[in-house]
Amino acid sequence: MLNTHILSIVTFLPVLAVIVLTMIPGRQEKMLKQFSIGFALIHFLLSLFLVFRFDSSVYKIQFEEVLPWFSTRFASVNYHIGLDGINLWIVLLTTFLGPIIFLSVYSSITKKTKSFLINMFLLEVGILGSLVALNTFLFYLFWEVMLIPMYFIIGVWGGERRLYAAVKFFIYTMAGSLLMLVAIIYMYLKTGSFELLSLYAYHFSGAEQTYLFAAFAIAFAIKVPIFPFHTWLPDAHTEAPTAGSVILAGVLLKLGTYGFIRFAMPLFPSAVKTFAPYVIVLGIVGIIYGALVAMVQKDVKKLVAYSSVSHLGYVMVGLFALTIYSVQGAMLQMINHGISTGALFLLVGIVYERTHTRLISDYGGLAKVMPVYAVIFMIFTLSSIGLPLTNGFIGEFLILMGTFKSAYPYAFWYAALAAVGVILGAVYMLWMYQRVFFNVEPSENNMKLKDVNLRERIYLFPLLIMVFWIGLFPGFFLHKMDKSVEHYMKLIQHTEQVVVSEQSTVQGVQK
Amino acid sequence: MNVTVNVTALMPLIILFAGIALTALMGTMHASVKRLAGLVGSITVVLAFWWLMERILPAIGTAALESQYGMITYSYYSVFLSSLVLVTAVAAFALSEHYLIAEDFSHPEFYAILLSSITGMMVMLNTSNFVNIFIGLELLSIPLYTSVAYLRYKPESVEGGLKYFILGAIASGFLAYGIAMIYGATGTLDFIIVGKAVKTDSLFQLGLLFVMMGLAFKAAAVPFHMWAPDAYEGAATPVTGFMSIAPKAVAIGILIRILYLVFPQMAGYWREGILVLSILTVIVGNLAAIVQQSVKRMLAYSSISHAGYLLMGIVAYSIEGVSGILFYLAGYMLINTGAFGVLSLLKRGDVDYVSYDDIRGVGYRHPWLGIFMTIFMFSLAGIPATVGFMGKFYIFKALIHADYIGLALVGIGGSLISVYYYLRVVVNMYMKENPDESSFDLNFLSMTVLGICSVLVIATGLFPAKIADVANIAARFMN
Amino acid sequence: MTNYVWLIPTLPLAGFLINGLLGSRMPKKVISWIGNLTIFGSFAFAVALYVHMMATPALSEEGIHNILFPWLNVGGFHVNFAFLFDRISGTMTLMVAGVGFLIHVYSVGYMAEEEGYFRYFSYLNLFMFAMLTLVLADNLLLMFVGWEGVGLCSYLLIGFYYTTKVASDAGKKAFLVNRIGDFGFLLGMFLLFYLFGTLQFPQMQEVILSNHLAPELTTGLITVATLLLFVGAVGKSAQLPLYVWLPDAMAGPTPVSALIHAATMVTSGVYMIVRLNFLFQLTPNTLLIVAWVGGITALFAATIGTVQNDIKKVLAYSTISQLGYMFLGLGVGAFVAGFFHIITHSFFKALLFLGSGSVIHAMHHAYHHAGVHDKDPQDIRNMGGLRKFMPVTYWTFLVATLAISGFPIFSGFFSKDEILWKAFASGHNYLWAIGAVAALLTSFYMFRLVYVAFLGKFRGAEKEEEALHESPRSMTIPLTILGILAAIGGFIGIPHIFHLPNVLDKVLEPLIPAVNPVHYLHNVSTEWKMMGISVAIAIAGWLIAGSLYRKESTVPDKLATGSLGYIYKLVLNKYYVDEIYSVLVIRPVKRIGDFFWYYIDVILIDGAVNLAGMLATCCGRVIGLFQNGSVKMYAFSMLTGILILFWIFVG
Repeated sequence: MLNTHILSIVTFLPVLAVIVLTMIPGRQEKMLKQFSIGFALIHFLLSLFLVFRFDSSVYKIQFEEVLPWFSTRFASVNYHIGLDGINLWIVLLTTFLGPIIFLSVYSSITKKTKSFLINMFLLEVGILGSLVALNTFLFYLFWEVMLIPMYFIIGVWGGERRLYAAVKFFIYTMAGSLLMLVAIIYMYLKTGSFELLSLYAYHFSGAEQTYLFAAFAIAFAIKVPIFPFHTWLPDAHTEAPTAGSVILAGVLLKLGTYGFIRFAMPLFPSAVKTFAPYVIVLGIVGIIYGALVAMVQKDVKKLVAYSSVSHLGYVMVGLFALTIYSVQGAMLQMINHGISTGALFLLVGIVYERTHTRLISDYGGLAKVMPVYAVIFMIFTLSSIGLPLTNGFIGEFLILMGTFKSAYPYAFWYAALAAVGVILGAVYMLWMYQRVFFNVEPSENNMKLKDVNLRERIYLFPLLIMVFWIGLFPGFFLHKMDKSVEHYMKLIQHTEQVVVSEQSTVQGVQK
Repeated sequence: MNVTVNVTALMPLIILFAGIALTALMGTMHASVKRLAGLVGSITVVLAFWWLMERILPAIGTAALESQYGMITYSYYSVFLSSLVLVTAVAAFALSEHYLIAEDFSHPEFYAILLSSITGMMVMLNTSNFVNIFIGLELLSIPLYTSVAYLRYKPESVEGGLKYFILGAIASGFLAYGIAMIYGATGTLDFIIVGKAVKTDSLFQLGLLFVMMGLAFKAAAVPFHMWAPDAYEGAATPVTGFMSIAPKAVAIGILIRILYLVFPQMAGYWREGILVLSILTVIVGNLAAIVQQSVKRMLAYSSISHAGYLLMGIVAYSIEGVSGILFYLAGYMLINTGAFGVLSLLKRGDVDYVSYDDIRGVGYRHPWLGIFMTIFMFSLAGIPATVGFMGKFYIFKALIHADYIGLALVGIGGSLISVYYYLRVVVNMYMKENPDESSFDLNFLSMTVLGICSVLVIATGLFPAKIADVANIAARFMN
Repeated sequence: MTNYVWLIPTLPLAGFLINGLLGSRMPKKVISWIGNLTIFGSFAFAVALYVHMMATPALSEEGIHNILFPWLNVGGFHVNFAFLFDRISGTMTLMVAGVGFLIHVYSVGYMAEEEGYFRYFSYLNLFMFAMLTLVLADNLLLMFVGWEGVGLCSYLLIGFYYTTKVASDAGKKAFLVNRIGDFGFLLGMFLLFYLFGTLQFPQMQEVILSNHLAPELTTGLITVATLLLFVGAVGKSAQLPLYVWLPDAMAGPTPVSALIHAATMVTSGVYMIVRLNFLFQLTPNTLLIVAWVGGITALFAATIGTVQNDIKKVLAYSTISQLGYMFLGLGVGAFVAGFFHIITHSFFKALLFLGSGSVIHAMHHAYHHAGVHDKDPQDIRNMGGLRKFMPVTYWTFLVATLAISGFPIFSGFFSKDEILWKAFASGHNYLWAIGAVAALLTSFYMFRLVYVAFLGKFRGAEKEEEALHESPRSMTIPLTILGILAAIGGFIGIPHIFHLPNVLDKVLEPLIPAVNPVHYLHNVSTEWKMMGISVAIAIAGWLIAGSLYRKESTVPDKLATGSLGYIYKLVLNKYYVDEIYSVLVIRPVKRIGDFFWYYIDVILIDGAVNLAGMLATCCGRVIGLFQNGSVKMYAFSMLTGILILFWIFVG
């Protein structure tokens, strides 16, 4: 059981939590929260099993499970999930953030706790599902279902403009994914299969690739988000409750980048060849634009939100630079961003709980009243601006170096421009840090602020560990991805098949 | 010549007529008996359904079960739609019970009226002759007009009924006229024979045009939809639910049957025609729904837009398309019954609380009601893991398969817009505070119906195979 | 022993962790002991290691290579966490750890009353860790770790008094300007990896020596790479145009200025080029640029130094100018000379800063005692005659002044003269001239300091005067030691003409082969002449300063207000460079940010998004108009429907 269905168990375990929660009366706030924390912890420990059993010497899918789901005369769909180097760490990141988030919820959520927790767990199922799905239909299902709990989390427990943010988030994302649905259906009609792995083998004609890639790319670009599809993000982030922002920044956005490497790129290699330069340019624009805009924000949370735009720009550049370095770097950077940005949102949440303001101008001199908090904040700031020995550096370095070595005619300039982000990143983060923690003697009402308490330290600590673990021993993480990344590079660079593809399309029509 | 009466084939109609008579009579009886009218009505419908399944279905093979020279014809296709209608009817009865008692205006006649409308639908569905189409249509419509105006002390109810009647009369006129022209062109009114008569002259064309128009009216396709919002809003909420499903299913079903069986040789024309209508319907329906202030009226427009998706399925002109439509209808029945069912419970005395402001915070005052409504709304919006998504999925798939990608994109655009106003319901139920904290009295029967609906919505959304296969068989045996 | 090179940087790290985590609960005594002992530990160990290395021929050739663990292995890219303790890094380590230790000791006294004592010492230890990593790294990437690490620590220490805006601004400025340099460093690294396929110094040298030069190397790429690295050096070592952060950095505690912004960190740019001399020697163009940037900076900064009144500011600009000298030396191929100047400079400049610190300390106390708050304890115009109150400080300060001004037998004399001579000998006469003028200015502004601050009579009030006193022993002892070093430290690199052994040359010779010696075939007499000239320059500077400041003279004011006043203003305001930057760079960037956010995000994109929504709503309303309840309208719409169908059927 545990060996054959471990992945399904990990994916759907939160459902069990939901069932139990529905039985606990809503008045029992404490019990509800404590149960959730414990459950999430168990969930995480269980998911560690995946890492220990993971065989990094092969690229093939592991913990694979295939069984027919439903089949009618016009569509047959399998329940097909699996794990490989591409999604291993994101899955782990999701389960890892689980207990942390629930610990943070302990104080931050006070109204309608029960339904909040339920939504959180459902969200986890959606995320994990779309991460492990190897069947386009199944993927789409999870991909959409995921929206609903997130929508509630923003809309019910959010801030002032939560309704606007929630609906914007939902419709923005839906717009992209509906196009993806059309593409998925088209591919099915062409190949008679929703099975991702068998779709890899099929080579669409040039024109098809262009359109299909575009459809997928837009869906994912909105999720990432790539400039200019990013404007839902700041709203969603600022309005969402802390826990929401954490999971949003930590994992949800990664699904976009993950979608690129898992779906859009290997499925349509020749389209990638044509589009790559544009995507890279957009990525660079995102890096610089995001940084400049983050710089002028007055709201800490918005600032961090825009920094995500900048950071994920790196990931996109890395993925599309298509060198082993840059792709590995991008994969790692996804995790890094999840950790450091997630942590930053948690930290902002901590101080927000105490002051109920997110305006930078309301702070200042906090380092004096909350020294420990200041130190932790500083560490994550440094990790987010990619200081060596922190996780951020490894990712950025690999991405930039890979981009530099990539085969594009303007590779040097891509790398150089992207590297400008290294400067700008420091600018906005340190400026923010200065205005929040330094500059002045804290104002009287800030004088009363309490430093981080034990619970907060407990859930920040693991994140700190990760910062330095990845920073000092990235090998452990990179090694598990090696084979899969190489394999996907092969798939993506398989453009010579395009010549053959004309015939293979014909066969596709015949069958 | 000797006419053999095929009782098996006639029995459903006989049962229904009996039911009508019985319920009508109960009107004259003692109050204690009157109360049972709803039950009697439901039993009749169930009996008819049972007969359909037990006696008639087995008798149908690849060839349809014909009697009275095709005046009455059962095919898998027609049976599928008939059972759809009957199930809807039972649900509607179950929901009406509570609603009318709350209104304090519960009379057996109500059920008599609806039953006769149902009978009309059965007649219309299970025939392959234009005469019965017309008779059925009238038998369907006239009671419906009355049932809309049933709450006669409510001006909007009467107004809706009257408008429906006037415009309906025009539509029926056109239909009759069209049938006449077809007869004039071919000298027969039997589908099969007309279908064999390869004709393209303008008379024949005009006939097709008017028939299409008559049915498009019943299906509330833009621009023949104007009656719908007012009628839907005026009618008692359960009736609205019933109206938004059964007549639509019948009209679309018949339209498909006529177009595919009778006018294949004119496919070029009517495909284009339906194409235009479907686009208009989807766009207008969705756009108009955005600006509504009453959930009931919003749902009226939304049901118009759904008629649009169904019409798109017709354009695909393939078995796939038809089975897609049938599946869609099945799912749509579950969803809309549920959605209107929820609305029908939001009522105190004879006042309906169905505006967006009224439903604020309902999600917390009535958790289950909230959950049900949320499920129905997301399903209408076509979010996966609900039957609403599978329906859209099948139809869009059929369209893309038939190289109507552009049309599919229009449909998708439409459902994107729809997300906005469906979410708005959820927003109001969960994300807004309501000064008025008083709750509604929910009735067990209705809640059970809603519960069943929402469970089925999810279940068929996750495991559509069963219904999809049935729909598929039905689609393949139309005549 | 050779496998424990890692101890050298790691000991301070341990100190940092202990002080950082537990410091808040520990008495100051313990904190300072931990802080100092860890540094002393690494210094002692470094000495032992150095001796051991020089003793064993094999090691002295190769250097001690100590691999800790593989750090980053992706594709063909392998970088280890590994240290290389050889003649260059070893010598540097001795200097860094040694001076570092002295300054730690000094800090004990200087920071005694400060709150955040543990914070200070943990930062200081962290800095030592980063600096030593930078020095001992065996590959560019690890060097970059130290490179950014020291940047971080300087950021933290400059902003030590974080509740004052000035300090936190200065810290941020330092970090950001350095980041601009690091940007170049990064790209340089990429290019080098692209060219060499490795970032480890020995391997890179291998590639070059064994002439496995990829064809790219012959093209300008290597020049580009070296230039990019130089950008990094310019940032870190505060050369034009990125020097602007260093003067502001004086906002930090004075020992920090001594350690980070004089002796060690700021020289790491120079060190990096020395480390990579085998690379830079291949690129004459880069070297030329290095030389000119250095020379011009040396002169530029020196001019500013002549008119500053803040004692630390003067020293800051002097540091910039001295760093310029070092680059000048490297640029003309005199790598040893440049390295030599790093060491001597670290002695006398650290001494100068510590001296100034001691002065400030005293003035601060004086004002505190007198209850004066509006006076600036760093302004030399408030001092004067301190000599009799704090003799040790005075004498050591004087020694350092003589050293930096290049008076014979004092350390600075040898190193600076070496540089100037090499510049001249290698035919860069203009550069020599620039250097000479800068030397003149140097000795001028240093003696100006001495005269104004230490000689004459105290310009403060009685009450202040009676509180003036010499600093505690923990401060004076380091001063004395550094004084001795500043005086005699030059003897490790005596010019050949004295026919005495030049230790430094011998030590570095195997790693830094003298560049085409053909240039240096000038005859000995010229070298004597040149030496004479530079001595004359030094004395000249002294005399001028004397004539202007020995007594309360009005000449300076005359100059300041006279016909050449505008020049004085220009220089006094540091040529308005900061202002220019803020107009050309900082404000525009902020404006662009605002523009993007407001006009593109809010108005353009979100505007479009919301517009779409509004559009839909409007259409809805329009449709609603037809739904006006009149049956006529409804019938009419049905009619149009029929017409549409009709049209389709007919057309």
